[in-house]
Amino acid sequence: MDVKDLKIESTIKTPEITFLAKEGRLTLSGRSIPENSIDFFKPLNDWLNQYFVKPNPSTRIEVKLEYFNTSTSKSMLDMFKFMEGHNGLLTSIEIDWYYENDDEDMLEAGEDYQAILNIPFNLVSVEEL
Amino acid sequence: MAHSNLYDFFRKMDQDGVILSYKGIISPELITSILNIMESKMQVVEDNLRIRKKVYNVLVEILQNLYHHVDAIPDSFNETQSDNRVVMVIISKDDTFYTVQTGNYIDNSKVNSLLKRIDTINELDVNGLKEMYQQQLNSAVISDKGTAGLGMIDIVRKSGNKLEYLILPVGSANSFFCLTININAI
Repeated sequence: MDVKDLKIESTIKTPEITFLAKEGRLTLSGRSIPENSIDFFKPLNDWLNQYFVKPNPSTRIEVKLEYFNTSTSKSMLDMFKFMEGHNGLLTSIEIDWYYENDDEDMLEAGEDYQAILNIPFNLVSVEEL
Repeated sequence: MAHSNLYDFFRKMDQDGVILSYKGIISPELITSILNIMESKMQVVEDNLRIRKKVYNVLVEILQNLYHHVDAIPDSFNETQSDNRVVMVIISKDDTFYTVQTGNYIDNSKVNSLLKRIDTINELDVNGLKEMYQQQLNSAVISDKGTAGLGMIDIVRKSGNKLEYLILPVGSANSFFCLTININAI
């Protein structure tokens, strides 16, 4: 059975997550500052696990976060590494990391991931998120 | 508190440019409240969006670090609070810096490793911090609490200033840990 669209509403401390199955496009937006990010990322990781059984030929991850804490930083890396392991098997994956053009902290955070990961990881500068 | 002391307290906070001060139990709900108050206050006192975001970002990390790592109050001091996660947080501003100061009890057994960690981080320059952060991010295993040893590095990296601290011994088994973080306001 194909995976359906996914939608997780944002809260004060967690981002909005949408996945459009037809396009193979996953978007995280808003802020991610939960005290414990494991609880938040668990359902998303479970869902990705299912998705990779029969994924779209191409998968695009859009990260458009305003803020995130270090707990999220680690959970996101674990998620990206999981994607790295699936890249090129049944789907080719690209990650787009959005940052506002004068936001050095967000640019540096993207560069951190770029340095660690071995998966197409694009830094996308925008006027406003 | 006597009324005369109350006025002294008010004057002192006023002179020190205190934006927010809190003494009490730290919880996720309290952190949310402080962040909400600071977000609306910052919109009034700070025009620069980048600085507003930076202060917010650093504050999140400081408060959550405190929440995850605060130790119990020594029994002999535990007169008014039934919960042990009691901390102090003061956020202030002068012409040069936004300053976040925190105070909390720490078990003496943990003091040496904490200070060693801070001193190590304080010695690093921008590139050293980047390297340490990436290494820790890549190699650390996330704990059940959701921590990965990144908080302190992130605070110094984002604030652009070294951590200032003082350990006050308060008995054979406990100390009070004072921490100051400056964030450039210009």
